[in-house]
Amino acid sequence: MFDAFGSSALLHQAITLLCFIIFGVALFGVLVKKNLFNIFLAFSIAEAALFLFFIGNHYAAQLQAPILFEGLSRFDPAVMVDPLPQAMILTTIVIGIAVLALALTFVIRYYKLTGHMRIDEMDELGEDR
Amino acid sequence: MSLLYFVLLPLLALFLMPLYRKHLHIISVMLNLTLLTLALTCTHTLPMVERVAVDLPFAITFVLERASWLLLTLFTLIMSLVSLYHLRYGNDKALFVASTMLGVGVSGLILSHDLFNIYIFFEISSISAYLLTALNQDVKAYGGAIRYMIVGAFASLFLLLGIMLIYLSIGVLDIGAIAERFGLIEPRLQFLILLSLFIGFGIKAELFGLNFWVADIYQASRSSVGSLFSALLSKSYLFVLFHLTYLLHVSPSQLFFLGLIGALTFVAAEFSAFKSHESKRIFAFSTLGQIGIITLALSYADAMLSAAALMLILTHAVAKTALFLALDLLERHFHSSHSTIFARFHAPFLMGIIALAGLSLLGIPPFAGFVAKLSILTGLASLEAYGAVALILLISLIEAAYLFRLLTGFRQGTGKERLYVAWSHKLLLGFMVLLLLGFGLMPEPLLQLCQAAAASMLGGNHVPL
Repeated sequence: MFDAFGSSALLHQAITLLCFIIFGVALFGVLVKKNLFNIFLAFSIAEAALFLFFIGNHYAAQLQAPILFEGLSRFDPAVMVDPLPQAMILTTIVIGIAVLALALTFVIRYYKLTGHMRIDEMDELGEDR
Repeated sequence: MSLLYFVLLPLLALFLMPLYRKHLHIISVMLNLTLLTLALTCTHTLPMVERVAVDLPFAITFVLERASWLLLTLFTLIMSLVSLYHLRYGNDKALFVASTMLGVGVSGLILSHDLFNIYIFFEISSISAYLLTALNQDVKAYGGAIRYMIVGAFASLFLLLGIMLIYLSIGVLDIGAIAERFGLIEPRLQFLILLSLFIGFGIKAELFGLNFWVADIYQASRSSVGSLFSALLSKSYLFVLFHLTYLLHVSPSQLFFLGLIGALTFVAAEFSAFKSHESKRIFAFSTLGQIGIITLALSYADAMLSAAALMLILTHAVAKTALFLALDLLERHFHSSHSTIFARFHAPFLMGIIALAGLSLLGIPPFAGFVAKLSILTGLASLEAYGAVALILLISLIEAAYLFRLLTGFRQGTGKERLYVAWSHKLLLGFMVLLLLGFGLMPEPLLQLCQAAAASMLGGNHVPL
């Protein structure tokens, strides 16, 4: 599909632009949304935009996936794309899911105790509380 | 001795939890004392480098030099003291898991020598901090934890963006290699990277403009957890921020910006503390104030000032741990942390501890806090930064005003309740105050350690792959 772009530079520019639009929209969502669930959802979208940006910018149409198999026992940058970004993003996705699960657990517990999950109605902390 | 022990031993202790689930408080003490002993045994083998390589450059590198050793020793000491404090309260599974993970996170943060591992440990310590905030499992705890997660997610996003931009620009993550190649990056992109890293670490290091959330988090947490946040968490992020700042040879104007942020953090925090009447919020703002002074001092990238800032990190961590643990005793008894509780009890020992730790925090002789603050003022004066000296002296009056207001609470009220303080707690709190007094009366050994650590930090002690 990406071969239609012809050159990697053009593809990378398009990916970067798209990802930063998604990132900006997600951050806007974080700032304007009042529902805690929506806020954490917006964070997840922003995070996904960063993942796409990083992986997309390391994509090269003419190179292979960095998988070692018979006959290819060592990483060769002339033949394979850089495996480090993929390893990094896989790790980051795992962390992101763990954080999101914890956040939603807290939101559910908070909802059970207060009956709401709106950030503008959270008034349990402060000087005289 | 392997540096991996500081990460692997706590993880092993967590993994083997089912074997000793009824004795977690004892295991916690044993683990932290073991790590403290290991940290102390590293003194004569510094600097240490540990590299776990799959196939270079795919490696995890840990580096322990003078500065990171000083902080690692401090962190293991504070973790030991806090776990000893909790020994009396028996088994607490959630506390054991979250505090042990926090130990892993902060140790990894200061040991890691590549940016992605720093990000991993940044997240580990953050998740532990969210869990610690929610320990009480009430509305305040969950409200605080959710707030913390929102600002933490912001920090995490920007840190990740900064790391990705660095890797896309120069193709390396090892901070030694980054230090060598950072100058090759186009200036506008350099600025964007530094801004992203600053937002990421600045939020977590509780710096001005990015620290609006801090008092709520401390208020939502148990007081004993506040000691971990104040002594370990904020200090580890601040250390990484300045370690990277020095390694990347940022421009004088960017250092000036950091200094300005430090000064603003100090002023805003002390005024907020003065206005507050809730003890945990007061101590939280006081922590921000000290972080402001430390940031201001470190921004000069001067050997003497950096040594003084490191000394302030050490003395503040011990004093604040004593204060938060003393406050925890009061909070457990009165189920409140409002400053009016200071007028409701009679416990000369506890009152003495709070007063003495408060005096060290304020920088009154003969405590170690005095030596640290005096060194900072002397260092600033030697650089002819008289404005900064005047600011610290002036704003310290506000600090004195709210601390003395808190202490005079002891003299108010009638029909006070007699408060029983266990001998184990007396010994522990007494030890911390003695530590502050000892290093105040004989500061030379600690000053020398701080000077060596500052030289290592400023000298860009790195190991390129």
